[in-house]
Amino acid sequence: MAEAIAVPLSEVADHLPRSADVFICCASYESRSTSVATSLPSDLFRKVLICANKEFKQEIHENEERLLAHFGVKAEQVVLSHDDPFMGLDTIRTALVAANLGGSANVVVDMTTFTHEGLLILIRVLTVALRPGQKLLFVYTPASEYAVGLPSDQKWLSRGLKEIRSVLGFPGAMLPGRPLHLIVLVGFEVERARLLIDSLEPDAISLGVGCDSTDGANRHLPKNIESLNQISIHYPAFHHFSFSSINPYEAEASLVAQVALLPEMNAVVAPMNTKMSTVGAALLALKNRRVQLCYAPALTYNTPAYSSPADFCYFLEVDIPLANEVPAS
Amino acid sequence: MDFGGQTIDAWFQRQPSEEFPTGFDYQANYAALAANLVPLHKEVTPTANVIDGGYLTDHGPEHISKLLSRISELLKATPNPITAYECYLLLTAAQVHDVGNIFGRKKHEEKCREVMDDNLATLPLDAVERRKIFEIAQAHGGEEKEKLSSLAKIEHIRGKPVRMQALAAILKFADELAEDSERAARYSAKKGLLPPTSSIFHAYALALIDIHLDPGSGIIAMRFDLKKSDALRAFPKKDKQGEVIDTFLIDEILSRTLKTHCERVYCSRFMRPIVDVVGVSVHIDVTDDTGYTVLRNIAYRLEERGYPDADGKDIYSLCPELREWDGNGRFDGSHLARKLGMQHVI
Amino acid sequence: MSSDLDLNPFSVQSPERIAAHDVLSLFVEDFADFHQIHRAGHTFLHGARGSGKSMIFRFLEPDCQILKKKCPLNELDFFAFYIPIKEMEVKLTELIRLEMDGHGSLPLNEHLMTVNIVLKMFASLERITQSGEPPEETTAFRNFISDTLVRLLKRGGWAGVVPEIPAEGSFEQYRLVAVSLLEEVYSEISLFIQRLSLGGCLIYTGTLLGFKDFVRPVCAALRSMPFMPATKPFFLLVDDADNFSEEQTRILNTWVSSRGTAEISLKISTQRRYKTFRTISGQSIETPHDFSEVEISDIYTSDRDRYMARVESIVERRLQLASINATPSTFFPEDHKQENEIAKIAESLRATWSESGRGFRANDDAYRYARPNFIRGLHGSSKSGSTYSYAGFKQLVHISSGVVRYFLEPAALMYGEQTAANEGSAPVTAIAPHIQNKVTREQANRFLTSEFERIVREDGNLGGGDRATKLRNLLDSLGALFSHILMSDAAERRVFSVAFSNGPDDEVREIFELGTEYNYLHKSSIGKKEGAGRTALYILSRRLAPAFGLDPTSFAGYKFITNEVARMMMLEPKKFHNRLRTNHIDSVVDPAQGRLFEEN
Repeated sequence: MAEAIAVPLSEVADHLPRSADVFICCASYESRSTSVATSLPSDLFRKVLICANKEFKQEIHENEERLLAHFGVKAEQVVLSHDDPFMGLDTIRTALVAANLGGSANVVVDMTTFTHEGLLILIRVLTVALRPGQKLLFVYTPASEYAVGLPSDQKWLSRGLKEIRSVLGFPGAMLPGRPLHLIVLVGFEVERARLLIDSLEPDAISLGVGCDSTDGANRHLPKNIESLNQISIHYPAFHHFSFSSINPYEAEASLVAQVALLPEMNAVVAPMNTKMSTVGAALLALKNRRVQLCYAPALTYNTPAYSSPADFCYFLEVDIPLANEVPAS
Repeated sequence: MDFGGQTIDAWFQRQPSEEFPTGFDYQANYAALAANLVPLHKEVTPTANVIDGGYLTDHGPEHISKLLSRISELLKATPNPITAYECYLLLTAAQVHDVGNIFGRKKHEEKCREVMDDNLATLPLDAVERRKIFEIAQAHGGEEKEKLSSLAKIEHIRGKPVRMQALAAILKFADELAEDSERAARYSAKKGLLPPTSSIFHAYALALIDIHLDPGSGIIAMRFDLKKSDALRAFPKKDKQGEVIDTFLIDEILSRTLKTHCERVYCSRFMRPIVDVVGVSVHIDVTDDTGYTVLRNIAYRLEERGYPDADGKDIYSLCPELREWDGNGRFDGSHLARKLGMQHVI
Repeated sequence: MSSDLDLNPFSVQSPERIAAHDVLSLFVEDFADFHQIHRAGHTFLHGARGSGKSMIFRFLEPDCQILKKKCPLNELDFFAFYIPIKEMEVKLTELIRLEMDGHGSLPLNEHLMTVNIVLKMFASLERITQSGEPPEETTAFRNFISDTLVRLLKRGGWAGVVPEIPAEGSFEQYRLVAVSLLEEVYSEISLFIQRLSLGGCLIYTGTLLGFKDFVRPVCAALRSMPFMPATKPFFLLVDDADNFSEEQTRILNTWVSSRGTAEISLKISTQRRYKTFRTISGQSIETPHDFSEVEISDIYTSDRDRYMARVESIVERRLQLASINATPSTFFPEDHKQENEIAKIAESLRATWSESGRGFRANDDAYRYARPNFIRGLHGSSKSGSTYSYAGFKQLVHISSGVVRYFLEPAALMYGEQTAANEGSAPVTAIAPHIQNKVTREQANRFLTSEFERIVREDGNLGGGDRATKLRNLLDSLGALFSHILMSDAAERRVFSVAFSNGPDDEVREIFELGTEYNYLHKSSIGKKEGAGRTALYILSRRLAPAFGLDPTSFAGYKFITNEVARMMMLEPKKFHNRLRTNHIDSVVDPAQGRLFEEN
């Protein structure tokens, strides 16, 4: 399956293979972290890994408990850390090893409320955990609204910039002496993107905007375009491009073209749009090891009203390059 | 550390394998390396002599044995044992530290790297571990005296803590102590067959009949025995500028024991609290030419005594940055006053 | 002239990208301040982002020096290599695995730094090609690459294939061979780093190089090239060394502590976030015996006239290059109506000085009180303090607080707005006062609000939300205090600084230092209230003057505050604000002790 299929939440289980082994999701302060999970029969999977960032323990508690209660004994908590990516990588890897994926196992990942970094690290671990013949399906519940309840001109999702770091598993090959090409998959967070660009001081900037929208009512796309316009005022000489917010393969193709625009430069990609496009960034960086992926966690998040869930989700099977298939450079 | 009457390399071989990082047989490979280097050690002195034209004291297998026994002596008394892995790094560094002399004396401590490259099969695969061995080995000598400060106090290698400065200091000091009569070309010296400007070094080595650490007092005891004829003889010796000057053996002894003291002071900064040596005591017997009758004996001790004495010394020798302050000569009250544009106030 | 400056004469470009001729046009050489920088010896150059450090480094590069000194390459007094430290190149998340799992963090980080620096040295040699006078005799350079460089790499464990090096080639061709060789070496460590993320076996079998065994001998060999200035030092201009991790910073300090500054001098710039001054052995490097130190902000806050003159020269040059026939003062005119009002007040003060004057001379009173009285008047019945205009070249320079970029960036925005206002029909020959005022106020608010949150990003991990809140409270409280004093009848009303009459305790000091680190405050020192010894003085950045309605033209006055008052400012700001409103200032803080400096 190369296209993401939109499926009502009530029909999610019908689209899953009967032999789904492991379900991985991330408990969050967003209610859509439970949308898909609670739509599935609790005994569908052999094993369920419920990830959660320890820094948000209080905010996610309710949703985490819901997930644990729903899946019962099959559920295992996997502690991630917003501040310590190594912790997340090690715990995910340990949990996957213990899950004992064998034969033609299927792994289903609800990527909706992973952080971009968390999702990327998970993908990186899956490149070594999965074997040829095993399948990886991604599920994503879009938001019907962001910053719920706030007027359009006052919506905020996050504030400030805590730090900038390369994503564990995607360090790229930053050849010293070569100029830096920063490629940003712009989302809604204008300030964070600007701070990122100001901090890295790239020699070339590519700002990408989504050419489609995950929400059925297409309200997110205009906001995305507006965000890009706001950012670009400050950087008049940027390269504009568009990418798919829904289809990771198309997003990957757009990124490949963007990197190829300035092949002699060190390319750093900052995925700040949908998780679907983040998967596209992962595919790019797994196949082109010279590309670095970076992540810029915010200082504060609008946890009480971050989003409200749509009543459908996207499904897609993704072929990620496995460790022994990945090129050396 | 209890070596059971043997030297440190035997102790090393007895350690359980769990003490070492996995993936490499440190004990077997060390033994293999040591065996492989024996023929090379034998070649070091003669080849170096050909290249440099002098006559080095022995740098062969006996010197390595002596070095290991000095290291053992220093570590026997320690309340702070080194680990088995640290021992591996130290022993391997000891094995390679002087092999660079085979390419000539100049920068020999750095040239051991080439010999290491020729013995990769018996060295760890990891370039980091090999570099640590090299760093410990090269710190023992060379024109630059202050090498130990640029090493880390503790580094983690293969998950194990390694006290780099201390290990390098122990090797350096033990090498200083590994100079005794067994290194000298005794017969050649006796027969006057040595190159003239090398003969004083052999005479010094021949005169040094004993050197050992007294663990109770922490004192290195050096004992010299020289005949009257040697005491009266003027040996030709090249100075730093390459000029040949006549030197008495006693003056060489004074100079070299002072160097031993300086090495002790310097190395102690880094090897305490593993090794604590507090002084060097020197005893010189000058005998008649039969060697039986002691005509004169001289004893002195090199150590820090009493309260530091500032008489005769000034702060400028301790703090060279005050010698040339603000680009304009010594820093003192008058200088500061001039800078401030004030008149001298009485 | 580059196209960016064609579009906007105040555009802030990365100095790396500015051509040598343009650098000479734009750069105002003021090396009386920075004499240590172009002398042999290690030097740290500290200054806020935008204070001109990178431009200084750019000016030191050989292509600029050749033009400046009008001499060939081999007659320069030094040869400088520009080494910018990019965060995403050196501070890779994977490297933390080395520390966590305890293997080879020091040698591997040193190797990464070594290759990074030497690669950039060779990249930097492109400046020779760009200078238009590349060496014609290239045999020595060719031999250096094929013999010395290859030998040193092999000594470090490199086992790659020696590339084909043409017998006859240009300097640039050989330079590219060297770059490609080093990039191959770099790729070894890069691949190793990629493996690190998943942990497991951390054995590294590639090349391993260090400062002593690679950087030094490479420099020694390059210095002996016929096109290099013989017996002159190399300067390695390490820009933004704050971007190194703590481990890498210790390694750099170890290099600083080693001898040989006659051959290699490290010139290291920081934004005052340098992580440590300790070496890998735990010792500290210190000034003056290990390095000299230049603090750009200190120079310009202690000698304001020099800074004013410098900015004036910079603006003059930029206007000339853009063919704009104006002086800085006419291009950035004051609000004449406002200045006329202030002049009237000044005249009135002169007239009444003999009866009720406070200053030594009539002009003193006019200078000290005219503008504050005007601002106070605005807050009178109409409560329209916000109508004070910050227009005028001098005010803009004062507000930039000693950092050139804080003048240029707003100026660029002003130019953009003025261009838009002219609707493309008339060239910009001046910036209207209302545009100057608007942009200045926006920038001040941005500095105080949204940038505030970004700037304390690194604090997030250390309970940062709490420290950030305290700092914000402190800034608001200081702003309120200084505003209150401005509106009062105090003898000195232009107060921008506080010092401590007791304490401060650790918590208070920490927050003040945090404010300094992020340029909200500048730290200096002053004699203690009791007379003996000195204490820290914290000067509020005048970039915040518009946010609090303060007069930016002077920061002469200071106040002593107690530790208790400082704690109230940070932890109970509402209580502090209430006290200010209800009590006399001197019962809230100590009476003013005097001025930092006299003004005419």
